[in-house]
Amino acid sequence: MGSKAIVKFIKILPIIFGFSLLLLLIMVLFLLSGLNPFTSCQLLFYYGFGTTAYLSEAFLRSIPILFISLGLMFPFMAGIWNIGAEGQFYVAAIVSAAIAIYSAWMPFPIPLILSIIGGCLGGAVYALIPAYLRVTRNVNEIFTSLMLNYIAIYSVSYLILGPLRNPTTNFAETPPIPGSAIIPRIFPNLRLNFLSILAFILIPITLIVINNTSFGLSLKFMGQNPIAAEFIAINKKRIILVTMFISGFLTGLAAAHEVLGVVHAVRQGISSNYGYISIGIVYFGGMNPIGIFLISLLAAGIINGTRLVSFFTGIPIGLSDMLFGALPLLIFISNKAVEKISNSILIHRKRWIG
Amino acid sequence: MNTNSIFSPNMSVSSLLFIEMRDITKIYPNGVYALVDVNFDLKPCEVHCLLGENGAGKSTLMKILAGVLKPTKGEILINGVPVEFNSPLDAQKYGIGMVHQLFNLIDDISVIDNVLLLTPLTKREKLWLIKDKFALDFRKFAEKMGLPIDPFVKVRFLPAGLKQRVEILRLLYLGTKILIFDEPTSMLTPLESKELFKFIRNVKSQSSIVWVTHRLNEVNEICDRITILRGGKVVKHYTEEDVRNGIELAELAYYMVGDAMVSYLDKIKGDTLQNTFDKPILKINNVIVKDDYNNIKVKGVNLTLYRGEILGIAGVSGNGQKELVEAILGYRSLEKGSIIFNGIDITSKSISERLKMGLAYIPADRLERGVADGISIAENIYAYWVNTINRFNNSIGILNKKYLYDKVVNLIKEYNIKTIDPSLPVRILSGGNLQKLLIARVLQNPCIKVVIAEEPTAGLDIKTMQFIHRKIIESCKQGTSFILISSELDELLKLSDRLAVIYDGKITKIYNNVDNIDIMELSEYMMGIKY
Amino acid sequence: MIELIHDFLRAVIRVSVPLGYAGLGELLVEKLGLLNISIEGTLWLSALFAFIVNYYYENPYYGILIGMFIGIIYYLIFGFLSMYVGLNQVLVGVALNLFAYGSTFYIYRFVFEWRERVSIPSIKSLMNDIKIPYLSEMPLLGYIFFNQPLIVYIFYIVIPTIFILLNKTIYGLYITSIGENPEVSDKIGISVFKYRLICLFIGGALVGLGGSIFTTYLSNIYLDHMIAGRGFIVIALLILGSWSPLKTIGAIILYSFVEAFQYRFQTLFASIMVFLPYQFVLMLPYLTTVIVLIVIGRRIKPPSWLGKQYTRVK
Repeated sequence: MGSKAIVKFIKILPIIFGFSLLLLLIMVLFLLSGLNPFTSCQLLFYYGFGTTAYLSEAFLRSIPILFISLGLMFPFMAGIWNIGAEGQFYVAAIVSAAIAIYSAWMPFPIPLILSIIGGCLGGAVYALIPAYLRVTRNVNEIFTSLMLNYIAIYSVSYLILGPLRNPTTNFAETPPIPGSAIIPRIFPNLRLNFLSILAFILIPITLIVINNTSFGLSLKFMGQNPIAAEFIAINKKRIILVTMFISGFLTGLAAAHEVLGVVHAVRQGISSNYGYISIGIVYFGGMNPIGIFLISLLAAGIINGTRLVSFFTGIPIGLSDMLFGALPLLIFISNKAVEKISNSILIHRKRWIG
Repeated sequence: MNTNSIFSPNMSVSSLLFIEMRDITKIYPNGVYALVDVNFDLKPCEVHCLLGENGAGKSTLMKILAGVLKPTKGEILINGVPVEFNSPLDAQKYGIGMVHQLFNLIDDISVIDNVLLLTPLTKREKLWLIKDKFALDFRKFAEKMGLPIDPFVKVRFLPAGLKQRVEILRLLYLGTKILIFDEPTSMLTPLESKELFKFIRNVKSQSSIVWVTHRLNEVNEICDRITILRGGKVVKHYTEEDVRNGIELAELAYYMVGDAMVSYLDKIKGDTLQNTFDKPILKINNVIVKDDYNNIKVKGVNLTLYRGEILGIAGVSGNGQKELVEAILGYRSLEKGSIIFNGIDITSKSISERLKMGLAYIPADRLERGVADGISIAENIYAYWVNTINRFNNSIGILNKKYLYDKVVNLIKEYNIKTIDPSLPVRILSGGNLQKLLIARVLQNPCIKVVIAEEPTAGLDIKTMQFIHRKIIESCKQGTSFILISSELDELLKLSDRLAVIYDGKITKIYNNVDNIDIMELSEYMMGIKY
Repeated sequence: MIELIHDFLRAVIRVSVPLGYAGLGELLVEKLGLLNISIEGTLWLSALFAFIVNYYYENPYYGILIGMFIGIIYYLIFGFLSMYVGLNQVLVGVALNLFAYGSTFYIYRFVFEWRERVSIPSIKSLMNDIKIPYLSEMPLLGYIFFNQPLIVYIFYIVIPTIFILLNKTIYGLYITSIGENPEVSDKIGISVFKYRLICLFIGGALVGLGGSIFTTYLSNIYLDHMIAGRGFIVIALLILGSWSPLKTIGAIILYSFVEAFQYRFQTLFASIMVFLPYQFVLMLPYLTTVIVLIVIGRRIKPPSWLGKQYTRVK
């Protein structure tokens, strides 16, 4: 039926709509800052995606958000609200940095591998804390994961000002990641590293797991009706633990990417709210890995673009951050509107019996 | 908030109202005719029973009277004057109130809090509420009505009978004079029902009562007049004199069900696989189970289920059947006792383990326990199959979507589930089709050994009911055993090989042969009169 | 020595009042079943706007008013998105927070034209302490409680008002019942929509008021991260206080002791930092909440529909 194609189009509609609104907002803000909105926007797109270098920067910046969002899809679809991605990121970051620093004496690529795995496991284990509390004591994971975020952030802050402080600069950061643990670049003049291309493997894997496995089906069912899920022999406890593990693991991967591949240290603000932004983006992308990928890329490019435009034209930075909060909202709203419209179409097509 | 109740609990009898509903027609937006030209009236100080099978329109008619729904055509007259209700509050102004099947109570606050939510208060009382004063007043009122209750208990901790009592008392406290009871005994134990009947007989001297039910035996307990609805129309009306002269239950059944009556009361069950009857498949040994409020609901039940048999469990809802079922499934743990399934002790196994071993469940609570309404019809079926059929049963197994989809399409055809496209969300299915889906997916599961069916045909029309019964018997002939929990005796008598009666958490009688059961004796066991 | 204790206790009050306002505002809203995580963002925005208004009009009370206004608007937006549009409350909260983080960053620089300034904008017009005659002469208590700005005196009145509202009036019962079960409440005729609107209004005003205190009394400059998670602390303290007004204020005061201690005795802290790093202190409310949730989690009962969607189905 042609309706299947229409359904797919309807899913993309809110995204297109949302981005258009976003651009409109950006142009308005440019105008208010005394710039010509049209040329500034052109500049924005150039700085965001214009050259290979800029495009690769956009891709690079989108990776942490992409990885975290892919991870978050699992618990969210199962109805588990993992608000703790931010904290999981911090934990993973510091763990991978610590492993990198302390295993520096080992030959490459051993420290690198250990650090990546350490980071992933660190994130996964930290995510298991709210999961475990939910499974054993039925404690609401929204509160626990939220609280654990701050515990993680402050703990990391303590560590980078204390035991893990950089002795040379005495700033609030770890010593630089030793060469044996740095993720190598793929191309000499671009910042992309090997972990970045994992994106192209993770996206299809996520798609397959969610749509084509019994685990994915059970996930979706549980998210919709946790009570009935039990009576369908779905093992809820296992799903809670596994989905949170996956989410933490992928968040850890994102952290490893940033720490070992981009920033090469852990500093205050290693995560610019990636954990929270990803929460918005998971929904923003229609709970769909490809959508998430496109949006992260677009969003990352726009952020880079606005930053550079600000830099060159002298307007304050932070434009992008402000918009980043508005964006999910715009998309949410468009999503809901589209949903309501398509539902009423559905009802008209079927005769309601009773 | 309604503060204009023109009645107070102390109003004299002579000012009670005569209610008339004339030519009421209700058509739903999707074209379904729920009621057609229905006439119904209510005199002061009487109990008027509204009888009909599920889906006949009784609830709809009463919802119109209570102001919850508006009629498409027709009018309501009070003492000859036409009135219009735009909301339940309007009806309340005339003293009309309804005791719903699912109580309109807030669980986590106390009884008196629930009452206060609806009590008309003065400006002063609103701003400074002296709860104790009201509580005392309410307690006295409750005692005067013959329905004592502690006002400070949180509603969550009350059993169904007391919750209903709170609803009733609340309505009376507000000055309701016309009480509509919608299937009131469906949640009560026999003892609680008895107390309710006694209360009705007492209170009717000061009020008028509409008693909506599909249970024939209640009619003789309290009714002054009877109106029978079928298919949205009034098919028969019995006056006070008719009732005083006595009416045959069979005659009532005839009017309720029409031409289908003949097969309705007949047993259509054929022979069972007698030779496999000797092999026990499920043994329930001395099982003791508590409910959510720490009361012991199953008090030492011993049951054996044999391969290929249908074991019916008769009993009024609330006697422990629900907890027993949940214990067998593994949803509720046992305080004492054990359960052996297919030779294996499953007492400490989780639900998913038991379901994987071949236990299956058709829940009474279809939406809550059966499906996820946002995902597609097909996925609701697969989700069950992939988790319970061993062949599909690897944890991250890749789904063979084509194969599963084809099986679903065949299933839909076979069970005649009315739907255009199985990839549409489940929420579009009607009640009957949803039930067919739940039963179909279980019965099509080749790995099932024991099916626990709770109220499998509740709320369904006759045709669908018969279809489902046929399917159950077919499945049984292939060696599946059934535990059938039903509050409809006819269904139990029609399908069961053996029939157990549960009363107050114990099995009080097991009939090994259902053919010549004395219904009177059966009722006595169910009511707890005989044990 | 007495001076030290006096100062310390006054500091406790100063810390607890903005949190108290925010706490009571959020309490009112959560009691209705609305989990508004964007309390944090609301505090950021109201602090910023109060600063801006205070700076340009040189009147802290205007700052308070704009803070309340911002709070009302932000809470109403939350209400609109979660109740009318039907979006998940937690997600709306997170998104509103992100928006607030970003916009405060940008708007501050936009308004004060960051690049051209030499010095950091600062305000001279903060609220004054008002001495209540006679009462402030009381030994110990007088100096602490009755030598405070107007906003604190208003707080003394707000606490019992909210307490009476929730526990002694029928409206409190309506609010509780809506939070426990909006479906049933709607059915029996309590206008869920009306009460939610009113409480979002009042709650938002209180939260906004709390936020504005930071830049009209506590500090004469604006820092990007001055709120630093206090909104989340309030959420944590609400849990610890079991959603009851008095217990929540109690939890807030306990926390304020710790925070005031940390400010006042920073040097003392520095010397024992080896054993108790200040980040640990900052972590304390969160850690405590998690521990409490673990230990008596089963017995802590939030309003049953907290966070659950309810939109009336016609």
